[in-house]
Amino acid sequence: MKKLSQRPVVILQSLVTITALLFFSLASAQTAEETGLSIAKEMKARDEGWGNSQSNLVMTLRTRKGDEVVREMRSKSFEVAGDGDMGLTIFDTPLDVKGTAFLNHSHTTKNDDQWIFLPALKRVKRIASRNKSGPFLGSEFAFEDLSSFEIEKFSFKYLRDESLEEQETFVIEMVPTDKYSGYTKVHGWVDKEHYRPQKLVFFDRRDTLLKTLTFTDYKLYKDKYWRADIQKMINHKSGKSTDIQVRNLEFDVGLDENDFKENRLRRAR
Amino acid sequence: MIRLPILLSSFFGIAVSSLPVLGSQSFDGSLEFQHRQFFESGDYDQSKGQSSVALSLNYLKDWNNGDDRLEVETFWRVDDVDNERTHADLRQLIWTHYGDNYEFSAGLGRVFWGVTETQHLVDVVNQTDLVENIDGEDKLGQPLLRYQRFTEVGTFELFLLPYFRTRTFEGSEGRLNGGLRVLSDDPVYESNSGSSSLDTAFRYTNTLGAFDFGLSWFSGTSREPELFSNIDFLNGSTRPFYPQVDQYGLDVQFTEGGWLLKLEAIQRNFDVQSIEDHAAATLGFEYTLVGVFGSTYDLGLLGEYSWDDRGTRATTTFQDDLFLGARLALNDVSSSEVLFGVSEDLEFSGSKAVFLEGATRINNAVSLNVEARYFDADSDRDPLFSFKDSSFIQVGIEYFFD
Repeated sequence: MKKLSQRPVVILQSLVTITALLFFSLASAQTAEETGLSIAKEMKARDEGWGNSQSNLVMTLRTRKGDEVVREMRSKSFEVAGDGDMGLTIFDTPLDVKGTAFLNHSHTTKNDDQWIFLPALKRVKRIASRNKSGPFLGSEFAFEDLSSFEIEKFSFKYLRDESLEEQETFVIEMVPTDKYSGYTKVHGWVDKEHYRPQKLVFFDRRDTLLKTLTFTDYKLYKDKYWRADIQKMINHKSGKSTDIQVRNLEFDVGLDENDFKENRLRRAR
Repeated sequence: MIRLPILLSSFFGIAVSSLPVLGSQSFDGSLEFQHRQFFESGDYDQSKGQSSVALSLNYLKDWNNGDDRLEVETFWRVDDVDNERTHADLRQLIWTHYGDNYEFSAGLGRVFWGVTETQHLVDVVNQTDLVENIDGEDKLGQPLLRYQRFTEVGTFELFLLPYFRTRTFEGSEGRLNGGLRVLSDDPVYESNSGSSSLDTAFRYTNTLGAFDFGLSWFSGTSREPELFSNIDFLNGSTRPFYPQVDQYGLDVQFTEGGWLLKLEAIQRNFDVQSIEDHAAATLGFEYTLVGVFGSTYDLGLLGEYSWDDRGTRATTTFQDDLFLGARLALNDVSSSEVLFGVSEDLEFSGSKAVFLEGATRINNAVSLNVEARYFDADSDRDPLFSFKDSSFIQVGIEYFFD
């Protein structure tokens, strides 16, 4: 009886071993690039279908010495299936740019389309969108840091697993496909539980450490979509930093494609 | 200074707090102190210094879930030298209804058409407030009815403009009056209805890939007056003559990568024999270099060529002129920016206008603007000749509140 009873256990144990071996060999058959891409695809897949949203943004710019200035704006976003998302940003402060509106149609493979509405002149101007590496409103965020995350904008590579602030994360490397990007590579820490970016480290064109962006105060919306209330960008070269605080984020606010057309930009407020 | 917005808001009867939107209305404004210093004395012994204060107050109200909006923009300037430059204007007092695929507006409004920077040929709905700045970018509020229709094949706009406003000109004490005192308030019209003649305009705009273009037609009182048929040589003054004009306009912008390519072209046809029908165009580019000199600065290079088929008979300085300029944006917290440009007349040699515009933010509520213009001309047939002793530098400090 004793012998017999042991047999299934042995079989089970060897089954486990074989499965583990099989899984391991399969996993190693997948290259680091494939693993990186599948992590990125899972991130994107978990965030699909959010529709449209609006929020207030408070941007705090800090100098090395700790002097602060605050910028306030409102943001409206519209998800586009199969292409980059659309975004509309309306500035409230500083007061000299109050009412200025910035419209962005981001694209996965070609240059974004961008327009700006200048309220003093009542002029809508289409602008050159290659300026993705430039700072947004004098902050430590570049335009490209604020555009929507798209698989086509990077090539990916899985680097390692790491625990970060008591969370298990994948560390992946993202290399921008656009030659006008300000970065040679970006390292991303993605938590294993919800596939949310927790930290991004940016390397400049000379491949040296430039900036670190951390995401905190994640909240769950519509039972599916995680959004960080606070994004903190630190520039290691200049010692300056910028925080973006998201307030009153709402989904399904009834925005449609027409709200993001350039001929409606004068209406934005 | 800090108490000022409170005083102003009580004047407007509006409760104002630091919140930009109170319910569905908002209030804001600015107060600007400006000083111009000319390098030489004027021909009529005008003063070299000219100071002024300008106040703008704006009010906006939305209702009906944002489908209806009222916009009010008022403007005042008090100038210590030129009485004509002391003026007030209702820039806007306009109601707009936003439909699903249309917009309708009624009131005093402002409209911008076009793409180029040095001159705005197609932009004819609003009259130019020339006393504000000789660059022609300041506009007077225009009484209008506007219907705009958005379709799959582009945007169609129809304007009815029931009242005409005369262009403002500097007075005899002003330095930028072109050497001729224009009696702005004593105009001569071709139309028997004078300023009450009904003008109409139509515009079609669309985007095809990297191309944005507009076609426009305007029929009515010319926004540009003719200044030479009613001259009073004894007083050195002239009454501006406003003929009837049909203007056909085209504006195109091509946007790709760091490039903008621009074209504005017009044909103007007149009924009166004394004014020559003519065509004019501006062709230009803008190219932006991002992160120059290993910094976060952007450098924009601009070039525009302007042409007028009347040649030296043209009433504009832009008849065969090349403009080259550079815009440096520091992308700093203060949004500091400098634009430098040179306009060279290819027909009148030695005719040149150089300008520099700079702006920076002192803090969240105060901005500093600097503008310098230098004029040079050898030929007295060149419209720029009368400005040759009027080079100046201007400093403005603008305080914003809401």
